[in-house]
Amino acid sequence: MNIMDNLFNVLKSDDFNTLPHLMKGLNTLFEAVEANQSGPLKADLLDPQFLSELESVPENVDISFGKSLTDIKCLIRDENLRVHEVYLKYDGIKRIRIISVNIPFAPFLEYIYSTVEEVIVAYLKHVITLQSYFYELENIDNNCVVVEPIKPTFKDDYRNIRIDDKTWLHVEITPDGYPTNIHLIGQSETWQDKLQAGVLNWDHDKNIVENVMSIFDFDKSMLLSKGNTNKLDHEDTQMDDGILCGICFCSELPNSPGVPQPLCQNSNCNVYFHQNCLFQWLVACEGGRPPAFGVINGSCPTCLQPISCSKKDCVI
Amino acid sequence: MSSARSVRLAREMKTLCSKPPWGVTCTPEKEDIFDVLSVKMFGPRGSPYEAGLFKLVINVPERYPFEPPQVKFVTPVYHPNIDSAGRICLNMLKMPPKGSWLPTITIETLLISIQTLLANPNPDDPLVTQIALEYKYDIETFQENARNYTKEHARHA
Repeated sequence: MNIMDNLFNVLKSDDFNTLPHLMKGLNTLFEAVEANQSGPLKADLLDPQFLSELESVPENVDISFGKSLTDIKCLIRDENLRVHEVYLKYDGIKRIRIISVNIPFAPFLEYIYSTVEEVIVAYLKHVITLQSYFYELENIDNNCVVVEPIKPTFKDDYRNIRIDDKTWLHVEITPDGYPTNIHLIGQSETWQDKLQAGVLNWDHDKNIVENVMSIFDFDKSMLLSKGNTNKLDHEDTQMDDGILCGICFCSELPNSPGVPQPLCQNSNCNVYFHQNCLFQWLVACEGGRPPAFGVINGSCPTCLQPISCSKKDCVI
Repeated sequence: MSSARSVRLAREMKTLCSKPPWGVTCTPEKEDIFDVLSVKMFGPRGSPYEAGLFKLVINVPERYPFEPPQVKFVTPVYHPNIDSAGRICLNMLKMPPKGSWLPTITIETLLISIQTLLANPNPDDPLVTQIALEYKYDIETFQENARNYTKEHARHA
């Protein structure tokens, strides 16, 4: 605001009535502004010390930069050669924050670290306590059909395991590798009875998959059998293509609102139309005259049975 | 509306090019503009037109598919339902209530229908009365004439 006022003063003032005077006036003004702005420079750039530190990280760690030089991604391998992603942010000299990790339990997220080495040590120390958590998750992913999460990672501390077409088993896993909150998703009395009896006899010397198998009397192949999931996948891909309109052969049109609908009342006629397309056709049949009361009657372009279509929602 | 037309036409041309019906090729006159399509069609087997290759031209109207495409023979044809200007008398090519065009009909369906019409003339709804009468009452002469006419005009190398 101040600068603008000064600028106006310079421009309006009679002292600067010739070009050289005006330039001089502006020059002094901008010099003053520049002097004002030279505050503390932000340390956006990396310091060389930090760069050399990045170069000397241990062999089991890969480091790459993200969007800027201050976003760092570390791939850390633990004792069992599992790879963990740790995202760091370099906030300034000796100020490194952990932005995100691929495990759900991270008590050390808020700390500020002075070197990357420190982060790695702290992370590995923490990861060692989670070994049985990782083991159980891996075991489930390898031996069961996991319905949810769609792409399971260590970050997700739960698994929904497929029991049959309509039933999933939900299991959450604690940092110590123990199951909690086990319940069925979907209604099934037989599975429910088996689960209730089985949870009481949970064998803590066995892993989760083994326990689930003994609860439901499954063998390994039954847990891995996908049953009808292939069929579901197939239906999904068909849905991607969408239901096509019998008139314009599209599912969606930029200037035609809505999706194709089964507008024909004939239950044997399984053809879908955009309301807009059908309306346009019925109007064209009448010689281009739109109906007086918004509803037009005619015959279905597929089965020739009587059909009617309202003008509502139609753009012509 | 014109976008519905171009999307549908593009889709139709794609299937026509990848899976063309027997003896029919359909290409746009100018690439990617589907307003005017040129068609080459073999005469149906077992008909007097068997040896011929017929050229047709399709004009796709602005209001397609709410209006039927205009199809004409470029090659002269000796046929009760096709006149000397190449006009085709086919119900499917006319708007209702007179004709039976439907927006669910595709260009492919149309071309197959025309091919079928070549093999099965409809003398009760003729465009050229003289040929229709000949077809009705002296089929052998008709077949002879049609065969000769095809040889003369629709010969392909």
